[in-house]
Amino acid sequence: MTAPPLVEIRNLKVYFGVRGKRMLQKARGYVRAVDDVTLTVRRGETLGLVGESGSGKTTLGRAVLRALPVTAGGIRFHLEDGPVDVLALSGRELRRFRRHMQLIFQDPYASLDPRMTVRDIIAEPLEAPGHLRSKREVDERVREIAARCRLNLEFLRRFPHAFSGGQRQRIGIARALVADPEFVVCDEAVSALDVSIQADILNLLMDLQEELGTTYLFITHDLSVVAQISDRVAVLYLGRLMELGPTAEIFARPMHPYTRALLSAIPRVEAEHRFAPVKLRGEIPDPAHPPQGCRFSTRCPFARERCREEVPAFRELARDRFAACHFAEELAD
Amino acid sequence: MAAGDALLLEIRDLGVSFTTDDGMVRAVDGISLVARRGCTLGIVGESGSGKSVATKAVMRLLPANARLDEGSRILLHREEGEIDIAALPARSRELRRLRGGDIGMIFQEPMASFSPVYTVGNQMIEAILEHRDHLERRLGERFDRRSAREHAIRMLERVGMSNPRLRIDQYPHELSGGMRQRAMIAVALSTHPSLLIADEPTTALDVTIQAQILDLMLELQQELGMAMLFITHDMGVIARIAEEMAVMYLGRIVERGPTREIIREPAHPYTRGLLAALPRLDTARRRLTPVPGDIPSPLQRPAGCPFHTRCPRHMPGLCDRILPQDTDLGSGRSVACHLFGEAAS
Repeated sequence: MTAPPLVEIRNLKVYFGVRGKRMLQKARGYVRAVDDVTLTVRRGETLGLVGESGSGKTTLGRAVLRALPVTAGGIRFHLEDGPVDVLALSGRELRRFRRHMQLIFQDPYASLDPRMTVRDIIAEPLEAPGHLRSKREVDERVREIAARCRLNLEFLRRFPHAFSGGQRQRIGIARALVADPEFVVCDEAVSALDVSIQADILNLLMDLQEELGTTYLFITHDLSVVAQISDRVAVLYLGRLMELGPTAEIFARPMHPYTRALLSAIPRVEAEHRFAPVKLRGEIPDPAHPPQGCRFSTRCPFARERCREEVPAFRELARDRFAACHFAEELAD
Repeated sequence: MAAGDALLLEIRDLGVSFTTDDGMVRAVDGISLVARRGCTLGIVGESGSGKSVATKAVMRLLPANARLDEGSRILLHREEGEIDIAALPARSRELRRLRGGDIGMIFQEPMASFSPVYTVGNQMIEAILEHRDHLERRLGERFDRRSAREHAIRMLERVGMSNPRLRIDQYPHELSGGMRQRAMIAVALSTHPSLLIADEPTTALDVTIQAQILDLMLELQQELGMAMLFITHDMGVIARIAEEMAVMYLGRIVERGPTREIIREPAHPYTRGLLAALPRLDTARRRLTPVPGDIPSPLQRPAGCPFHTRCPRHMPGLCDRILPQDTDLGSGRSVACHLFGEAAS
């Protein structure tokens, strides 16, 4: 049984204007950072969002949080008391709504104000409208979430610069979860950490999800991290969704040629693994001038005439498995 | 004797300390290692392991507040004789000729090794001309400006740059990330170095581009028969590129040997911890096994074994007091851990 939807993203487009050489000149063109993405994040799941440079993964995450303007499309949150059209919110309504969603950044240090104590950093989201708690309630809540994040409570009175990368990321996580949001975007949340520390933070995120029922959109370039933490994976390339499906199935049997190439390119330590990356032609194209037809057609080893002319539909190819490739059935096995 | 057995670089008792406002930092604490012609030695380690400092020391590219230990030896066994890089005066001509001549270097960030105000070609031609004596010995050809340009174009072509005759007159910022990395490799290899030092050269690249660059480096190494020191934090990359590896932690080499053997059966508790902490592709939603605790600050190096503060097999009274020495495990492997040393038996 699949969980009910929490966030429905429909035909989402985020375009950025590219300016001309002179100042004040009108936009000359657009970077289609996110181009017609339809995606549902289910309640309580971790949806991994992977892609290389220019894939639009970070833009998509920020757009869902209303952290940057959306060009077209829809975003709907299904809360317990009914659905909310997030793009229709503004002003005070939007500020009130923000407590339902949070962001965990890549670099915990850059995202922590060095002049605030750890306690004040963690407490900050509770100051947003809609909370109205007494100082005592805030203190209690901060201590509770800090303990859940396995932070030493002694640390609450200190300043963030004294902490290691792993500790700082715990502070960042505690801050994101303190107001009990339903939905958290983790943007490269463990990418800056050493491997021996990264494992600890991934475990913590998984434990917290089990305890609190939080839903994660987990954005990363690191496919082994995604394999570890996600229930489902969405693969982006140049602003478009290439493939979506349950993690284990995608890693065992990718349906899109891009996913296949991506997985084959990961150097792995397993002794039985023979490293044989799919040879891709050339470089990732400039997102301001994406290829016609299928975005991946310029590098795809299987590209044909039709791929260069017609944008492939994002279709359900098997139960709960989607891919945007004209020839996915043919290329399977 | 196979070509792969020829010793090229021998580092003995290399130690590097930094004087900082907060005190003395011991970044590299007496390491020894060898690199052979035609072989790749991978050095793997996390933050503070000293892997980058150690390799910068080999090129004598350390900042002014760094000091090499008196007894450090960095022996380069060249065809025309052995030389101790650690003993060369800091601004000597000899040192300048080694860098970019016998020793090529590539880094994580290619823009760091290019000047933004000269074209790629200009910088390559200058490098080739500066090292023309070295190249004459290696290739038997003496380059002038014109033949150096042709040589540069051939190198750009060799590293897979499309349209090298156009690229050579472009500025570094006009190239994409992957192309810049290729151009940097072309620059480093255009003088046919006998040793290539690569410090996280693929870390900033997307995974599909990384695969292309690793393939290219393996091919070129075979072709040119050079030794490679490959520094990375990524065990997967080490498994792909290095026959032999050394694992560093807080300035010490804790384990070394053939890569395959170490990955199959790690000996040192830190190497075991690193491998167990790696997320794997075939195990969705499994709890990982982190290495407990944090990497200590380099200002507060633990006494005894540097890893004892995080080690699950730490023996009180021994590991926190006595620095373990290398124990030979046979078949080219060694480990610095009391579990394997005489003290344990």
